[in-house]
Amino acid sequence: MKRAIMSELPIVRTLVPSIAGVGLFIFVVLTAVRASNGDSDMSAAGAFAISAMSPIMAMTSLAGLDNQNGWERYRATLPISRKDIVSARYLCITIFSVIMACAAVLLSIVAIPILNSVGIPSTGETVFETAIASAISMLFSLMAVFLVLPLFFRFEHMKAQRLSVGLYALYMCLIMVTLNSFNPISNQLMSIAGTNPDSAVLGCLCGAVALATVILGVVSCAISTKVYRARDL
Amino acid sequence: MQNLLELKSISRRVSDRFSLRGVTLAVEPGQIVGFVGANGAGKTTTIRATLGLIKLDAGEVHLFGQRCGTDAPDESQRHLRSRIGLVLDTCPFPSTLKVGQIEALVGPAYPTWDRETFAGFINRFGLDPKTKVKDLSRGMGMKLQLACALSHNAKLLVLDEATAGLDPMAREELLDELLAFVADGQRSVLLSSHITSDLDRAADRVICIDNGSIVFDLPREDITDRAGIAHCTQAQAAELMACVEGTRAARHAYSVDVLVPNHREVLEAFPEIPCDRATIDDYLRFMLKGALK
Repeated sequence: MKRAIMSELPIVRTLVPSIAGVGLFIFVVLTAVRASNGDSDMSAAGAFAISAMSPIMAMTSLAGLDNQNGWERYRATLPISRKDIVSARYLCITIFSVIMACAAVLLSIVAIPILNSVGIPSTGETVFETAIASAISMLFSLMAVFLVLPLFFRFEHMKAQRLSVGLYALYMCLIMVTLNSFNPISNQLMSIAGTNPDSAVLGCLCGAVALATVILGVVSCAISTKVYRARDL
Repeated sequence: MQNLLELKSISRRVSDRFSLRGVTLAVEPGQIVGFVGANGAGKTTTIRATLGLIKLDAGEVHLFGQRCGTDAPDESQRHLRSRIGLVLDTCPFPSTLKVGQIEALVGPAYPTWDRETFAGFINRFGLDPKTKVKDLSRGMGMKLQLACALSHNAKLLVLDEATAGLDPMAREELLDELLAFVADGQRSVLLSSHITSDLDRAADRVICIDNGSIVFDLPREDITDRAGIAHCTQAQAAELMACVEGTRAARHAYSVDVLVPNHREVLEAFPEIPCDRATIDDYLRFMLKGALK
């Protein structure tokens, strides 16, 4: 397992500058848009966005690199078991997402005095609220990744990408049809957080979402291992 | 001595039009085994089966005397794969990585990885550690793979069309490396290629596959030193083919070329028939396209 992670890390490292660059761009744009609208928590929105996009960008980028030049086939000939390859991928996406979420929260906190100094008043969320909201954004995004990751281990990249978009669309349609809301889970969570904005409730909320993410991750990883072992490369 | 690789009657249906059918071959220590065949004959599929990348419908793969395959335990597969070096026709590393980063990608997978050996090969092959994989020429990409394959004390090198697209100098360099690799008599090379001139120089044995089945498996000398092409008239060809076993004929407008297993014997028995030595190319052509009668 350690060997698989060590082998995956150089590729993950190459993703950091490009994903961080895109994240920074989105952060600046979102902050500017919210500042022009007169919102006071402008920098927090950028942090949520970066936290939410990082897992999906990491997953698609890594899957794309697997597909490049036949690396996936070559990697399967290395003395690393397919189970370790799959586990390392899940772990690397999770670690990368956590690091990006932490960086996003840090950026959001650093941005507040900078914005104030250039004459844009920003009260911002408290550090704890920003951190919790970013963590929940990241966890939801990770759940979405875990939902489709077995497709990337079962099929080649392009097909998996098509199927995953289809799966997301199906998921959204089902939710809308059954619950009559576009995103009822987060709406429900936001209403809980809004009516009980103390740190204990937010912490519990985050813990519950993290637990759900871990369970989904474990199940997804088991499915991915099974399908990847059976796959011809 | 124990064979480093043994395929025993492996079969695998790939599509409606192509299957591997009972492929059997062995690679002994100290040998360079040429694995030849036309495009789509089954060379790469056989190598994929050897490396456990595809499931088999029947047959067994033995590496270093141990049974190996997709159903083998992870630990056993890891141990066996750590003794194999692989070179493919195209450089398989992610194109955004630099040459210097490839060691961090491949090295951790091998318990026997030697950093100094890798650095030595990178230096010797003239590879710049700062060059990105996407900027490497085909020859440089092959050398980078070879450096990886030779840096973990591999016992068996598997090269899948590695010489395809290389210029003569790069091919020459590669063959020199392969000859040095097997020089101690303990290690072997399975060299899949459709460029048979490479095998004329380096191979100890030549195995030919066509349409998923092994056509012949011979020591290289039996082809390049013993076999010959007799240039006959129609009548001479008929007489020759009636007298000598294992002949194949290629008919032209006014003559017939006949592949004979021993050109010296033919020259002695039929001094009036000119008979040249065969190359692996000739042998392959006659065996795949030549008529039996």
